[in-house]
Amino acid sequence: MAASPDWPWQSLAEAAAAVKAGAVSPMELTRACLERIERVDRVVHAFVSVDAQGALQDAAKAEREIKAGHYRSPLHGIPIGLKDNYDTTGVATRNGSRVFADRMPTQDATTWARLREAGAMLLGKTTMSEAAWGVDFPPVRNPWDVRRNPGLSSGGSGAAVAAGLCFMAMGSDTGGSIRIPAGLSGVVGLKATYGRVSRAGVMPHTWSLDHAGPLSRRVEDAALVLAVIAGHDPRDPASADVPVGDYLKDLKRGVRRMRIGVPREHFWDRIEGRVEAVVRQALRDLEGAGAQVKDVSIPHMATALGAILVTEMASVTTWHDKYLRQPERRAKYTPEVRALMDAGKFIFATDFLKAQRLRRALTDQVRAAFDGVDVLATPTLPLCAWDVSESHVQIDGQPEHVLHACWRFTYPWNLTGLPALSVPCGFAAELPVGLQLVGRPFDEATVLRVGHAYQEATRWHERRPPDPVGQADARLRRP
Amino acid sequence: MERERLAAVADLAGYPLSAADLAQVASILAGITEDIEKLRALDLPDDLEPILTFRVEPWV
Repeated sequence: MAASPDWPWQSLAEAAAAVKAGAVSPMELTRACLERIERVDRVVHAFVSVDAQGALQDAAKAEREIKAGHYRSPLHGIPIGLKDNYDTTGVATRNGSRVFADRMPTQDATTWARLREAGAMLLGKTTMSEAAWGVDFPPVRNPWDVRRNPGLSSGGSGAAVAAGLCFMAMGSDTGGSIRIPAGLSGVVGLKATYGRVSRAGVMPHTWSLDHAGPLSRRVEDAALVLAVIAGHDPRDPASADVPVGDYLKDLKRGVRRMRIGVPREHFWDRIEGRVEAVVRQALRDLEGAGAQVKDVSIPHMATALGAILVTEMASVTTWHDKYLRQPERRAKYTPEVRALMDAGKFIFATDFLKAQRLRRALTDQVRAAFDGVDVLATPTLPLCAWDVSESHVQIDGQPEHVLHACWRFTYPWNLTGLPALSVPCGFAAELPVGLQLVGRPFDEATVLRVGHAYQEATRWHERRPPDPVGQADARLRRP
Repeated sequence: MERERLAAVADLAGYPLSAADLAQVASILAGITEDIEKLRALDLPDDLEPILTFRVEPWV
């Protein structure tokens, strides 16, 4: 049977059910993804490397195993992507940087080892910004409008899922880099509780802020992936030894009588009007589905940006310092990223410690805000995808650097380590908008349940972007 | 921040940088100073200790 051109657009859950039922084979899914990558990725640039031969070999193996009755999990026979900072034995892991161009891991990241053990198959590594910072190279394009950015730094993973190139791709999130591309590219992005998913073998950015997690088409897909990758890992010093729940058991129970808190501060201060309108409608849709929505207060939100800036800059520079001190390697960083790392040397210890005090105070306030609510809801971003050539955007009539603007609503949940999910919640001028749902520590199940209920009520996730190749012809080559 | 003043700090700190690198660093630091100043100005309780090893625990 020839590969159906529609397969790459199905959700992971739908593909898994079809594989299990024998309605489609891992080989058909893999070929469908590879064919689409071949046709579309010359425009989108979501993948930095593709191992077609390896993926086809894995597909043949999965097919043999499943036919022999050794079905491993819903991930068995599913083609996926991994961000270029996930260690993969025998496959280069470059952290998006020329500094690590020849880096060949000898051990898999724990998450990849668990996904592979569950039967997932690696198509390739997705494009990322250098060291999860700075600009993309080559620029990844947003499948919804190929003139625009798909979000940093897991932009390749978001674009790969949004363009129908794979069923799921893993990203990493230090200040929003799973949820930002999810929001801008119209897919689902999940950052679980800090410590819930192992960071071992994912190249560090900022130790106390880094999270690993999936980008997928549906919330149910994220739940299936989390069920595989969650759990204690002795290789990760921050890994939490907290029992893993059943993320699927209550997923479809809906939101009737669930209490959703909407922070008054910070998230509505500087936001594009068209984005706010879409997210306010999403909150009304949740009310329409039976949830109770109420305001909550988290005053420290307004001053937390300085805390993540000093934490991130000092931490990134500390990790990269040994490479920055080697002239040959130092020269291989792009000037923009090298300058950010050099600037990290001028973060004072007093400011760093003040930031860590603020994190404790912020966490206390967030915990108080959760008194009487089950989840918090906010916009994922204050803006829609911007043109790849833009470094500044206008929000509320004020110019702002895009990197400054794009993580404003996501970084608080890295500072506090709480689980956060971005779900597509509509469009503004044909560009996706994301709704962010935040839960109590280790309560990913509730966050996923609300996200799933929202998707079932609205079905924004079923829309497909226009053909990127056609867009490129029409939008990029026009004089 | 003036590049010359930053150059003096960089030398003292043991991080000598080229003039071009210093110019970029100065630009970045100028861009984040306002947010760091807000952090410095924040009045936190005297008994609030910093989180030195970040871990998340379940809320009970």
